[in-house]
Amino acid sequence: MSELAVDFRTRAGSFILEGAFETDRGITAIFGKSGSGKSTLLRTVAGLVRPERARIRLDGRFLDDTAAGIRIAPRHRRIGFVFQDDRLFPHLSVRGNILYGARRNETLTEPASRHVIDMLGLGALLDRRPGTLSGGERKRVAIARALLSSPDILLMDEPLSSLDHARRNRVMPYLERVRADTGIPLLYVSHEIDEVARLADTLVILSDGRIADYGETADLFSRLDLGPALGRHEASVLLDGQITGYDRHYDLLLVSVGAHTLFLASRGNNAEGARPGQALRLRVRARDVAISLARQPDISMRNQLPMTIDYIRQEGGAYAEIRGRIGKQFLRARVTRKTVDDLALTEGMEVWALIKTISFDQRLVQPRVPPVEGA
Amino acid sequence: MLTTEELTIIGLSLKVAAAAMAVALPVAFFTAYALANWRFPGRGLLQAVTTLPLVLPPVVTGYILLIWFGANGSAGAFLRDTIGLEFAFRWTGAALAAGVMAFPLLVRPMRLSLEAIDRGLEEAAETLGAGRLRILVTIVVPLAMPGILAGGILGFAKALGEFGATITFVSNIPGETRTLSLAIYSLLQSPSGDAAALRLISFSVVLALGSVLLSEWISARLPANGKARDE
Repeated sequence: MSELAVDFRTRAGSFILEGAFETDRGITAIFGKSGSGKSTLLRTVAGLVRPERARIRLDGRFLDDTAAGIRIAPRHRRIGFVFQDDRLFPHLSVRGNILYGARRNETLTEPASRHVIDMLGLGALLDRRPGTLSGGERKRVAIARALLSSPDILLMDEPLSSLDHARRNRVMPYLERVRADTGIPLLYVSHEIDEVARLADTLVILSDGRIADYGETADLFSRLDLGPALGRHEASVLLDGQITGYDRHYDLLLVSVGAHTLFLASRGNNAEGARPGQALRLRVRARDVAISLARQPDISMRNQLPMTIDYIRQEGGAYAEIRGRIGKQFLRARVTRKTVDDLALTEGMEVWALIKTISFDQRLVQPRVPPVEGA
Repeated sequence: MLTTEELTIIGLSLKVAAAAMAVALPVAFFTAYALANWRFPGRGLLQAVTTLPLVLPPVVTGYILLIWFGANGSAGAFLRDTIGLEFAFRWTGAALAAGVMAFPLLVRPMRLSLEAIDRGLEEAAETLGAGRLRILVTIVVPLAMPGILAGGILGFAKALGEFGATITFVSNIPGETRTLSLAIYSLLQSPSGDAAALRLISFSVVLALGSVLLSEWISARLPANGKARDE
């Protein structure tokens, strides 16, 4: 089981970044606005910048421990770094690039590299030069190169930010495959809440040069106080569900969330390959959730979930945020303060959350593959 | 065609220029690398000294070499006593003069090539487990190759045709220090030498043209810095 514990303070010019977090497996997203220090955090873990103080532990070995005078050189850290600008070696073929770091691991066997090449779909590109590749292909080569250096952890600095929307959606499944197939923990910098919602198991939120908070992604999404850091307009929760069936007549997927069932349009939800039993992560925006005091049989919104109001946050302005509990999971609703008063909503009240089927659009519904244990 | 004597001159010139390049190329690469990548005290001075042979009158450079590396020069005596290397009135002295005179022409293109390399590539190689030497051999040198070759060819041509410093330092001894330029000069001084001079001149022109074409051909076949070429 891989485990990363970071506690550091790094100065870059007049900018100071500090904080601490721990994470174990799967994908850990480092999220924050531009200039919040995401890349600096990643470069500190990689040893590419010298921190003022740091205690960084990976799998029980210290990469940095300034108090004890330990500082491992970047090349001995066993980290795979996927840079924002790829940094492929222009004078080497794709093969030369992806095998560059493979020398580090003498035990790397042919089938292992074959597996990575197949997983990232690079078989046909091996003899090409980086200059002839598209943006998405370059990205996949960069990921393969990092993976084949047999790292203990993979660091990715906004790997998708230079790609257009279509390419991004084509590369993301590869990242999910890396997560599912290799068991190598992934530290992933992003400023796209979509990507984070889709990919991250653990979330580290950076704000104003500090680590504002970290924890399980779904937990942090349900936290109302992190609104400013996560982006208020996109305020949302993540619901973990499971496909239980498919209604062929209406072309709807049946998804269970706790003890309840939601109906999702299958088209556009990557329904090809959707099988009963498959786990899904649904992202539901607070502004797409309506509140009703009773179940509404005569309304078009057919997705109705009973929930217990857990917390009401009244801010200045017209709106209030309501968080409700559905079993072990949370839902958020953004309504006006007038609504809260008119319906006399209070904490602990049982209400119904109404969600239009259409508000789960394609990018909000993602197949979940559990990360490999151990490996 | 060419007489035995003329072939000796050409052979000697090639030997002198080749020896000059063999020693000067690595030193020039290291100098270019230091100037391109490191900040250190005396960097400005090193840069100036590197350019000096280009701007000093060649006779002055030759005279300085004579003082330092001549039979009575401190460096000359030291090298003779320790490793038995003698420069005074030897072809090795001609090679030293040629190497020193060609040095600025070697450093400049190499430095430009090195400065154009994205330092991020070295960082990437480092995260992939490569040490300094491996990064130098597999990343820096290949990417700087256009500059190394351009400098090398330019420097070789310069070394082949060096005149002023050579004649001042090691004189004009047939079979030992009389290289191409010195031979042409001597022939032009004698009333009967015009035909032989013309043959050596033609050879020089062909050689110079050949080097330029070769350097163009090589640089067209190399992936330019950072920009790979389509097949």
